[in-house]
Amino acid sequence: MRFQKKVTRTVKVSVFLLIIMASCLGLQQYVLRNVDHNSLRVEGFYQETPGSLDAVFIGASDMYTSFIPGRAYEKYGFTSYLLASESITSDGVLTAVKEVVRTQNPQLVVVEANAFLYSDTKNDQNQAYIHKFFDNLPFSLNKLDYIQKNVPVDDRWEYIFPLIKYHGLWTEYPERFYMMASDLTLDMRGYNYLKGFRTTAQVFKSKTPSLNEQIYTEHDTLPLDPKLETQLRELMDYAKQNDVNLVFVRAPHYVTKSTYDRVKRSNQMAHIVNEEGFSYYTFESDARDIGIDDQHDFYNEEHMNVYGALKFTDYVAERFVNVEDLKPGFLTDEQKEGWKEVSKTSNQLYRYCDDMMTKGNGRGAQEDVVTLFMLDNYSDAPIERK
Amino acid sequence: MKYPKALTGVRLFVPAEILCVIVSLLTFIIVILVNNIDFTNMQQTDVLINRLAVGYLLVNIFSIIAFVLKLVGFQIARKDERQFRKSLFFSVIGMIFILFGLFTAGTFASFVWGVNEVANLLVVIYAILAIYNLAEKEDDQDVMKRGKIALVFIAIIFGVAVINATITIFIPTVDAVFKILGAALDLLGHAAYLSFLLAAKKMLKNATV
Repeated sequence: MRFQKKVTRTVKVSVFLLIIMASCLGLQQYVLRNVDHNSLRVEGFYQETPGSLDAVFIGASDMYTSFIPGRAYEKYGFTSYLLASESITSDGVLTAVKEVVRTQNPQLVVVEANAFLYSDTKNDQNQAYIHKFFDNLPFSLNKLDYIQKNVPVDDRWEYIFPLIKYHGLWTEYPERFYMMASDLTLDMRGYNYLKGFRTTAQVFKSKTPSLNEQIYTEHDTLPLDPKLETQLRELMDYAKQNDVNLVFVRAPHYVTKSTYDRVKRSNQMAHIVNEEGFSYYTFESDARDIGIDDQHDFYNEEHMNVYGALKFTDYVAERFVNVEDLKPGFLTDEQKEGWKEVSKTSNQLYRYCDDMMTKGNGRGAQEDVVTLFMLDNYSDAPIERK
Repeated sequence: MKYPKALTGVRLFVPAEILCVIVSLLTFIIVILVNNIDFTNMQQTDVLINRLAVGYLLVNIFSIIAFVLKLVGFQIARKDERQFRKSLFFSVIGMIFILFGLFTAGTFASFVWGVNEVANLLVVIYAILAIYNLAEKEDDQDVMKRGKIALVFIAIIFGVAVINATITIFIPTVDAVFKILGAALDLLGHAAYLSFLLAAKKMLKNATV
């Protein structure tokens, strides 16, 4: 009997510890967690079948508000995902590229330049922005490497176990419930509908004049912040060593006097990148060719709305297909059906935002349960540009 | 016969366990084949996928038959030994979570499948303990020893699975090695458990009032 009692006791203790661990992980994953659109986007990336993406777009909000993967698939047949996070840090971009190589290994990796164009490194030190991306990454050597290099020693445990930081979030329920529900439904569904795209249904009207016409002939440069330039070079070295087909882009913005220096830093970045043998697409200067209308296609100075995003997606996708030789990869019938659904949802989102903007009801539109519910009222037919 | 119901139960466990061994082997072969499909060769891929579909079907059919045999076996055997009730309970729990897992994906699905794995583990542990109790009453040292060996294998397999889950985060390249090691240990574990069941069957047949 002693042997059976020993075994039974060991089993009971082990099961008890497993239950505690599972409960903590469950709370950390779904309840006591700062779930926002960044979470849904990053998590959705890891749900993609390994090796199924033809292109991955990395960057900050400029990226995830500008390119519509569903539209690109519908018109050009290639699959893509927006592994982007709000104000992602420069080293965060490198981690994102490493994660893409680890899990997907696509034909093309596109990096939006934003993270490298700040005038200083304040963005890189902003813990809120670091959390927005890294809290949602699964545990990996890449994540551990970033934490070890960039996070102060005292704060590291909260990156490894976010429950330490967010245990107090229970006080913010029931308001947080709909994002928790969005996260749970995403997880149970196993794929996301918009592949990371997010927008705000608003047309930006500003008294501050746009200098977009001026940037077409702007060739002056300003130096990058030294640390950010070092990070950029480290990224390019990594791409060379690991044979990553990396290109850089600069999305269109509503450029004003206060942000004009970024245009010059973008020019400098183009020189650096080209010298190293990489392509840099200054789509900011191509806004006229893209058909971007300053008074119609932005929802604020930094981001295009769906009108601008549709034009930008068509332009960029065609450029990558023709210049970068981006080809549609193999998809099973089931995957094709999934991507058709992505295209349809993107079309519904466009019409929903168009409706909201026409009515003057400015609101965010993303992969959450409320927005997805509203989309059922809109047609999923392809969008024909006027 | 002293434990007729336990004997009936064990008689059902033996074919169930043999089916589990076949399922393990088939699953291992399927995983190897799926990982080596060359999607650029569509003709070859179609043939392979058809064969894999047959393989999957067999795996599912055998798994269901094995589950039903075990369930019936536990239901009958529990009348002679109480510990079999716990095996029955965890079998049902495992099945509920499998059914739930079929309709989920992502992290949630991993959690659900994890619960199922733990439930399966507990089914086997309590089945071994139940038979061990009977062997102790009959003072059958051989069965008791085989039971301990089977439990040791279970502990090692579980340990290897936990180490695999942890170490592959840091060294992804060893995942294949651990999978093969895990599959080999799994097979040995099944063999140890089967040997234990066969010895238990003999013991129960010979157990007289």
